[in-house]
Amino acid sequence: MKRTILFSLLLSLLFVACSEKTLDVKNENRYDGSTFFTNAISFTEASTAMYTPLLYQGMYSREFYYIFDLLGNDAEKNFPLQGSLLQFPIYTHNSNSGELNYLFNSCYKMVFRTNFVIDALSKWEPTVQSDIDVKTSITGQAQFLRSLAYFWLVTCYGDVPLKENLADHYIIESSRAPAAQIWTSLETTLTAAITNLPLSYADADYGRVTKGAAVALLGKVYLYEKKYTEAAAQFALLSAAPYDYALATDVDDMFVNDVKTKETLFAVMNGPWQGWGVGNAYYMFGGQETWGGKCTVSDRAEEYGFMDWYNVLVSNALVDAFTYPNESGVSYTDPRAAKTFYAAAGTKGGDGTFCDHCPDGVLQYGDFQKEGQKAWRKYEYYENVKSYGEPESAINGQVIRYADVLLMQAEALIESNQIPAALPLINRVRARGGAFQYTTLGDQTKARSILRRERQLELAGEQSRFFDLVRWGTLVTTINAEKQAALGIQPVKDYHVLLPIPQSERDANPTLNAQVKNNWN
Amino acid sequence: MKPIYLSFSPGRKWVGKFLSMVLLMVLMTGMAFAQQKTVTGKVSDETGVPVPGATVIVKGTTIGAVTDMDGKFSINVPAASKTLAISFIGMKPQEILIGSQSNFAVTMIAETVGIDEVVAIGYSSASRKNVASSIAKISDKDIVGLSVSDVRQTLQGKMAGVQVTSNGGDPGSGARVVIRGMGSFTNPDPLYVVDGIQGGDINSIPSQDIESITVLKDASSTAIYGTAAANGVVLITTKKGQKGNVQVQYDGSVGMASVSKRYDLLNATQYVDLVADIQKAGSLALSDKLKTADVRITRTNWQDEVFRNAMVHDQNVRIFGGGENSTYSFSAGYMNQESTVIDRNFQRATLGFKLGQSLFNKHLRLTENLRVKNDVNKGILANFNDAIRMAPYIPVLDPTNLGGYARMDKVTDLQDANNPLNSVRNSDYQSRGLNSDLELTAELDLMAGLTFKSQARISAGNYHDYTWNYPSNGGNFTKTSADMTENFNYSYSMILENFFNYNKQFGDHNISATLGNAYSPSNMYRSIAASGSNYTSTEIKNVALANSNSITGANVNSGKSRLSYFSRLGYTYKDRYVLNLSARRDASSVFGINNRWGTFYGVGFAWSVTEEEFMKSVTAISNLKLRGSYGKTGNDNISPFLTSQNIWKGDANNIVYSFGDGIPYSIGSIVNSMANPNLKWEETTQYDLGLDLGFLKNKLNFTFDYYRRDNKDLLIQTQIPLTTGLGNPGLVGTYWVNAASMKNTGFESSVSYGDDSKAIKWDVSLNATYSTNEVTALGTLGNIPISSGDYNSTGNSTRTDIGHPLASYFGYVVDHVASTQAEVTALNAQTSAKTNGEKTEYITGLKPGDFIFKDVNGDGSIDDKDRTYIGNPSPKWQYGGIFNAAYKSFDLQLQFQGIAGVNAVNGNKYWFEGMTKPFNQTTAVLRRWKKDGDVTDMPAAAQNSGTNMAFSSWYVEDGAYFRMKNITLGYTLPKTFLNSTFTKLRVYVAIQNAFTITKYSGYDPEISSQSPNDSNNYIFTRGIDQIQRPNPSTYRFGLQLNF
Repeated sequence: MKRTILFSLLLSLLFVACSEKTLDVKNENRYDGSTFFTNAISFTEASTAMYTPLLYQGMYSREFYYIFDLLGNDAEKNFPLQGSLLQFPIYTHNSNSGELNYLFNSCYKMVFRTNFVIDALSKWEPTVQSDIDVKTSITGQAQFLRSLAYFWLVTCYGDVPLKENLADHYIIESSRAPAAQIWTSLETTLTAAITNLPLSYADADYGRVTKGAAVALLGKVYLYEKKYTEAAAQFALLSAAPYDYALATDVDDMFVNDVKTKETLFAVMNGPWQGWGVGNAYYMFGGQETWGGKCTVSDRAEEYGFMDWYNVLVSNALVDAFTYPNESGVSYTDPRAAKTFYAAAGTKGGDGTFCDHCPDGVLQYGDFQKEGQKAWRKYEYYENVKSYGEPESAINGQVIRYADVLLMQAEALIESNQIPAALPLINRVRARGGAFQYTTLGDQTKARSILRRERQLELAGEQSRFFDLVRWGTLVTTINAEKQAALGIQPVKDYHVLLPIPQSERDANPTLNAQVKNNWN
Repeated sequence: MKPIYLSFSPGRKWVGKFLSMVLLMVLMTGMAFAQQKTVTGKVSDETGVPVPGATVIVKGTTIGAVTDMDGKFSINVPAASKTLAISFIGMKPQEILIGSQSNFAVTMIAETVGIDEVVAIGYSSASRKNVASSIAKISDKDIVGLSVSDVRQTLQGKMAGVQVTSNGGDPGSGARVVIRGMGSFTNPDPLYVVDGIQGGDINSIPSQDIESITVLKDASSTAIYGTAAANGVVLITTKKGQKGNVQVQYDGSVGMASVSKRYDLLNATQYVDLVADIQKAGSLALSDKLKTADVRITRTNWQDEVFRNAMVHDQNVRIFGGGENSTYSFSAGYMNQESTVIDRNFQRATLGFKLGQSLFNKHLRLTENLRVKNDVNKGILANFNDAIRMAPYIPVLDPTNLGGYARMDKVTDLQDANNPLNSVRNSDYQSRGLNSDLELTAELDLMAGLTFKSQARISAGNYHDYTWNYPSNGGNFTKTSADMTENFNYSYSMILENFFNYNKQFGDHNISATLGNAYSPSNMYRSIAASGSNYTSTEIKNVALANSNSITGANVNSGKSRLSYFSRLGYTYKDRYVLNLSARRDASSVFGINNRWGTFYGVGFAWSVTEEEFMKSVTAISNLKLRGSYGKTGNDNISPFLTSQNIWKGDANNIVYSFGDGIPYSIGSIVNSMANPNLKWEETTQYDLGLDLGFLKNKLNFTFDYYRRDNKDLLIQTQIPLTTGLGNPGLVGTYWVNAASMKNTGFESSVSYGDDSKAIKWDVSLNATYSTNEVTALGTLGNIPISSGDYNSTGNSTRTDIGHPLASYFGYVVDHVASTQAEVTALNAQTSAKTNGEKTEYITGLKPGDFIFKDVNGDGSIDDKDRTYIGNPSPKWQYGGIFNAAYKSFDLQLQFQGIAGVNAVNGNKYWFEGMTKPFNQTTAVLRRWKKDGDVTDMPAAAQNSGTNMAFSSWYVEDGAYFRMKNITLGYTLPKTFLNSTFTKLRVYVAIQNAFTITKYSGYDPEISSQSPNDSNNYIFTRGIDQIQRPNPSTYRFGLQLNF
């Protein structure tokens, strides 16, 4: 009897002792996505996460400037350059090129995050005015950032899947939308963004998207759509109240000294490195939000810098472009050359000295670089520091600046045949750089060629030229001529006006893959 | 004679004692009182441990005795008797001549491949004859020959179907075991069970403390562990105390480890000539420094600077004994191994306590085990990659450089390898891990044959490491102030299991049964990682004293919990027909609420043909057993919380952006993944057909097994398109689904033969396995192949696709190196013709001196569609063997192991023969193409290296090897030289990894993966050598002493 009781007790132990509650394990490392976004603080955090893709691989912390400076032939490879980056100067990039994969990937990551935020905000119904303002402003910022990502996607890839709301992201295999549909969507979204966005922010939020940035991007969209009248009208808005944009007195303020100017409409905010204890200075090699700790530097100064990794040079074509005939037909070297590149003894108008503001005094570029190569000065810190040793440049990446706006406005006017109206805009940009003032732009063809050179010189090393040449339809002829002179090759084919759809997308998305033509785009 | 000890505890001792007792009673009745003399003696095992309960019979009579708890016996034997026969289950029977001697010391030897061997089967043990499964077992004598820092390494080459690959040659780096092929896309590790309880730290057990290791391979045996058994089960049984006087066993060795292989590198002159060629290819000049005669002087052999002869020693002592109702065993071990690469040092200290008590007339048995392990690693490991790439003319030291080590300068030296000694000597690394496992069991007899057992393990761990860097300039980087990182964590986990065991013989029927449950709550865990930089002083290494510091990560309780019910039924009729059934129901918290529970089962049947009457006349065959089994097991090896939508805040709350320059970072939060609430168990079904054959009274034994394992619903992280925008930064988004299927088939065989009848006693056991692995289905999205193994921007090197082995090597096929411009021109003309002028170059930018890849798809030019399957990472053959011989006082053991039918990827070639940049290279590059007309296999320096270095057959080599794993020669001092205190003294010399035969050109063909500790990496990049540190050869001298 006793034994039976004991046996029953033990048997019951087997089946009663353990509750299924054991299986309800709580996640103590991550918040629950369904309950987290409910107040202004959490939405402000969500908004930060919309901006961070600007520092991803393929974007402004590293690859973005390599890809487009090399494709646009602003930059030429130097010997230390290696890996798939070597493909860009000779146009052998392909669907497996890692940098392009990152670009495409990061743009869509930004699209997802902005759509997620817009969707979450739409479910939030704040009552306090300050909360309502947060909601409106973040919605506008999200609309702008999504548009910026789509602007890059449509200009680089043409037809791409259009994700206009959160639900679209959970459709795994999506097909390509016609580019025209994307352009239309950009107009709508940016128009909404302009309404939602504030004119400016307090210092702590200086880098957020403003109304002016959205106006400029909408103008740029019109320009790319060749809607010149609408474009010129948008750009014109930015030169009148309530906006107070102005050209910086010295471009070095933006590109060397990293100080705030009234010229910036939108920039990728790179912050100073805060040491190994806080972040990994090499985070741009894939450590973003993962192993890289907290870091927002750009490694451009290190990658391009002649006292550092020196991976690229200034292309001869760009160097030579700074010397051109003035209105009297006399060869003239544009003083903006000295702001753009270093050259031994100041040849070709380059800056012959560096460390002009270093504590140990001025150094001669020629003492360090004897091969006659021209090295990048723009986006370098060498006037202030001899070398950092680590990638730790805090110089913000300019995405839209006022000089660009003026030149785009001039272009829209020239293309609408309002050439005299374009003249003061061009001269304003030239005056700041110390270049002579044009008295006339001549006929439309002449004006067009002046404007196009202005963009090349003023926006050198700012990833503008590749997009410009494609837009003007002159990529193949222009780059082939320059490469013929430099390398004896003419590598650019007609299909190069678009980037190849990344292989990883094609592998994972059979629907889209079926729409890819000629193994390219 | 002392009273016969009665025990109900299952296992060979009980069976032995029970039989002995029965036998003794029979004997007693028949005792004759003829002319007699008294013979006494002591029976002990090979290690000198007394064997209580052994039967000693006067041959040809029914006179005999059973040894007492000290292994002693005393028999009155008739004067005419000549021979004593001693037997004990699990050991080889012995006969000794009586002669005029009256006191005998008998040493019994464990029977290795006996058909009556007792094997652990999970929650119980059984005689092998009652088991219908494929179970492999090794005992202590196969283990002790090696000095290893990971118990798994002792299994290497010992069992058919069990592949062990060490994670590299650094002490403490561990090893991985794959049983019957890769059966998972998430984690191929088997389940480890220590002393009957799942989990536990297997490395807290010194190999000297292991009694046996049993591997359950087929589904009928593993199904009792349903949850986690899809990859097989490894059961480790440790030595316990034994009744008798206190005994002390000491085993220690000291030795030296070294790596003899070196790459043949360029000397300074050859190096500078190479740099000149590389510069020329880039239309760049040589720097002034490299034009001087000074750089043509070879100053440093960088390989010799980073390799060293390493001291190793290993000390173990075990004290054990016991009384009537209690036993104890105490062991302590200390291991100190230097790495063969500067400056790492590994130390391990272990303590083990094992107590057992019998209460209530021995009806309640308790055990308490505690194992404590402390591992200490010190020193940064030198970076080979840098060592090989350094210019030979650079000296090691440079007092003018920050940190005191020479550096190379990108401008004057044109290269930027970091001085490997700088990072080693100007840094400091230390890690300490303290783990303890406490195991408590209680077993109660309820009625004859029925017991109830409750067992629990509580594991606790503490870990800390720090890396400290002094200010230094290594070449590529400068650290102007000191910095450090620190990691801390503690963990605590437990498991509780309760079960009934029943075992009874009814006439010809033997019935055994198990019924129980297991409860394993989510573990407790906390970790924190911190880093600091910008130290004012380098006196104190404390992260809090850094002028700039931050918390870089912290984790809390991310484990999973499980709840399980299990049962087993075994039935044997007349020792001929064996039926094993088992079933388990498991719930795991990692799955969605609707898919938590899974049911697993196994069925096994065996027929011992030799037990049949009609076989009794066939004397040539002493054992013939046919086995068959089928079953289903599961796998829940995925991260928890994949079924719910979680907030992503970066790895360390580091979604950061600086909206205002100079303003502190703004922190971000977002969702970045797609949850799958429907995730469920992986299922593995396996069938096994086996045959056991014994000849010559089981001196010669064969075992054959054929298996087929089908894994379905494999959890797979499918890649989703980039356009979804999901996933971590820079990575392709993934989505977990139960999607893939895989098939592993294999044929296992083993043979053993032993002869101890002559002066030279010897035995040998060999095993070989032929196996294949094939992916049979992939994810849902168009069955997209999984690509992995990108290294050094050469592109992905493995592809997992339907119809091919998991993670097959996939790339271009090198045909030859283009010799002349004429050849290139002709090739390009062909391309133009074939593509109607659409393409004008066979390979973009092709020049003479470049690799010409095969046009696999025949479209006239080379693009990514010309990549194909170029190698197999999964060895078709694996084999191993042990040979033991003893002559008088000498003993010899040889162990070997190898794999064949496998490829390896020598990823090092990118850096060491790739000539992409000015780095030192092996002398293979002296064959490089230099001028039009050169016919060679080595491309031109730095020309089109983006294409030439793309992943291709150039990297793929034959990965087969044969390794003499161990040679041990021992000498045991004859007893006559020992005094009464010492019972055994043996000295030995051992050579571990004595030699290796291979065609592989790298340091070591035993390649794990790029980062072996990461399961995903291990599965998808197997066999890719990325500067894996080679396994050293170790020469040891050792001493074993018992008293």
